[in-house]
Amino acid sequence: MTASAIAASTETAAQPGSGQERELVVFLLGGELYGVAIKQVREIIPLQAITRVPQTPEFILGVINLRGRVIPVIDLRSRLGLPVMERNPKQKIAVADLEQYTVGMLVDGVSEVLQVKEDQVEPPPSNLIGADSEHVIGVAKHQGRLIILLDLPNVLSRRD
Amino acid sequence: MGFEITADDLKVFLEEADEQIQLLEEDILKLEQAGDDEQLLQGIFRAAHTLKGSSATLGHQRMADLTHKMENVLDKLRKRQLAINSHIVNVMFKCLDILRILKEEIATGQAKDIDMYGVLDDLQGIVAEGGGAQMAAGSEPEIQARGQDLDPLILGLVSASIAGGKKVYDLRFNIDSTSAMPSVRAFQVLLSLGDAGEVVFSQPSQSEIEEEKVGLDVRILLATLEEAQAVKEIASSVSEVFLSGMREIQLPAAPVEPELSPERPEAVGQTAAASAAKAAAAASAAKKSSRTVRVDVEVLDNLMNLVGELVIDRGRLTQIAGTLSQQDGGDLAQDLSRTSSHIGRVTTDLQEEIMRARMQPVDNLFKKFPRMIRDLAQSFNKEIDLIIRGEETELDRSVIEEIGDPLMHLLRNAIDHGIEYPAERRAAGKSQRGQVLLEASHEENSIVITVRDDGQGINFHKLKAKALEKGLISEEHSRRMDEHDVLNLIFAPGFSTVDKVSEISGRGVGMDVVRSNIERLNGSIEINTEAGKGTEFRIKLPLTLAIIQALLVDFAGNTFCIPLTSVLETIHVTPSEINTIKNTEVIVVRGRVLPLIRMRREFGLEAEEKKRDRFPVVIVTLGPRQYGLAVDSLVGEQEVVIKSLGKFIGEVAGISGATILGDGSISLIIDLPSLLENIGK
Repeated sequence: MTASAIAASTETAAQPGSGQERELVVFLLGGELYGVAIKQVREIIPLQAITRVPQTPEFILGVINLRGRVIPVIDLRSRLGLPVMERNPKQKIAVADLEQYTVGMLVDGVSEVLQVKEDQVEPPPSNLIGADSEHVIGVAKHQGRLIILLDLPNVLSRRD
Repeated sequence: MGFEITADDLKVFLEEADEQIQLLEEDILKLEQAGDDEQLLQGIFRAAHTLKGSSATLGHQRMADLTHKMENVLDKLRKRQLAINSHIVNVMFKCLDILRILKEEIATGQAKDIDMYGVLDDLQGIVAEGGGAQMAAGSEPEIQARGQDLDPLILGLVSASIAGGKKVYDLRFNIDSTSAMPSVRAFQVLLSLGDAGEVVFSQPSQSEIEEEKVGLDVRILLATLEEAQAVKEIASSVSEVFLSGMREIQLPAAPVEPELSPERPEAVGQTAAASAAKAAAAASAAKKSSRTVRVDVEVLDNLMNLVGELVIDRGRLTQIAGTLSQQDGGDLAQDLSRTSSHIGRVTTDLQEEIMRARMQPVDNLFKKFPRMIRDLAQSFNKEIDLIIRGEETELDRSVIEEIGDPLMHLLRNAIDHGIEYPAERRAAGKSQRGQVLLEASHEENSIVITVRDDGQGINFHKLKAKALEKGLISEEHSRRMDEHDVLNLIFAPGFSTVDKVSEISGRGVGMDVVRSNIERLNGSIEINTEAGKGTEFRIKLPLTLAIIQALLVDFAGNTFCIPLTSVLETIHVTPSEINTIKNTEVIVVRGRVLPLIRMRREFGLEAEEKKRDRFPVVIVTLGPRQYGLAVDSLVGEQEVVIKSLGKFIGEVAGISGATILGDGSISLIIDLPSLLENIGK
């Protein structure tokens, strides 16, 4: 994990059990809810034409023009090891702004922005093993639903 | 290791240090040539002093120590107690090299293992030598005791005080280098001495102290009625400040009344005029510096990106205005189209201005070379003059960054292989000193950088023989080569004509790397040589890396840009014209056999191609080779703004970046060097 990734993940994982709140952007992916810290998300944009870049890993879908900036878009499903889905117009691109780079993530849809209390957040369940566990920093329970909290700096680190 | 300083301050310090070190290098070099120049010496001393002050503030002890020792030597030079010679220059350059390493240490926060003792001893030796030489002429203390090192105006004040029955003491202080507030300490000294008499002069001055422009040395001239012992006690009363020297100034003769001497007023007048001129120069320098600001390159890049967005919006706005006036045609629609065309003009101007802001004179790069040439010439025992021309020519800063290494290599070659030894030159009827010219100039939309020497030229037979020996060409091939082909052998990978491996050429960097670096910048390099007369390398570079002329082509449903500088021509080919040699498809164009590269296949994009009667092929040139790129269709020529694919995607073989086309879609820019790297070799 890079230094910034550690910094960012410890920040979001701060003091479980305390009364503090964290604000999450929640999106859909393969029927499950995933959450990332709102300040790591720059904006959500509709799916648009993605220009494929040859000779790059499969999970990099290509680049898009974000108001004059060229930014890469990844398939978050394939990055997290979920089955890849045919593209459809309901899909959105969540643009993540990390210290090192801005990256678009293709998600199935965006559900909402919500606040969860720190005491609603639990560490990742131990049955999450393999590549997936390192991308998850915890699970939040909110009104009977489970939201998987992603360690975005880790998900978007390029050490494939 | 770490320093207690904010990241911003550190950045400022590093930039400043960079500048001061570069300035020192240039000026020391000039001083060596000029021998003795008051203004240069003062400038050098000031730069070293600034460095010393800021490194001490930062708490970098070794840097502060080194600059302090350098300052000692410079001080002796300034006071004419030493004369500049090549030994001093060599030692000073060594110091600068170490300073650069130390600066790197500060930048990276990682301690570097360097041995400074050798150079510190050298500095000490020079200072001692200077002191020794001085003894014969009249020792330093004596000069100072007579106040001869003082400005005439101060001297006047001193003599007035002495005439008034006071004693004037010359006091030197050192402030503890660990002191947290050197300026406060200096101020305390000033205050306590001020109580005992009148401070005639202080260095740094009171206002400099108030502005915290304080090094670790303070000099004060105090006019007082007190006895030496009393002054000494007062002077030693401030903590963290040590009195390092004290003597009474005794003027050699009674001060001459200005009215009595006919020469005196004139002299004073001159001094006043000189100091007025100096003040004016300083003021204009200050004015000039206040008219420029340092801008982070990232800010410029961001500005460029923002303008890019504007350019795209401008296109849309024009479109909307057009549609609206067709539908409506009313006043409002006309208003909109007028406004949008105005925005268009402003955007174009804005784009140009920002491009200009990214341009830098090549001087920033060229000024690094004189020192290198001097050192190289010395180590080769050759006599060489470097002539620099056109240093005011401006280039995009990213090009300047990239072109440094190739130029350094060409200059090294000129000295190592080009220029002959003095004896050989004399025997050939040439002047003993060789000349190397480094020149930048404009040529249409490009910049041309020329490196020319008046040396022995390139020996074709030797070149050919070497290439044969290294197995780079076959016997049969060598017979068919014309002069141009032979010269181009220099750029073949693994080629080197050095008979003896010297320190300089043994670096494993060849001309092939030089050429590929230049080609990566969308530039080209050309050689001209004449036996006995010399060799010339001409590098042609685009004005900027941000915008290129490109040929737009389509394949696999995408539009790609090919840098136009590499495109020779476009042709149409039918399947029957394609032959196969060793599993490689080739086509014959004007008698030359070129590898045919199917771009779809090369990029792994839908390798299945429609069966077609004819398809377009773009003939590109890279170094000595030509290739044919098979595409689906040709779109046209266009100026495109290059954008990076970003750190996340990183380097991609065959792609150098992307651009946004007028309709907002993205087109990838093909990088020929990396695309063709493994083809046809």
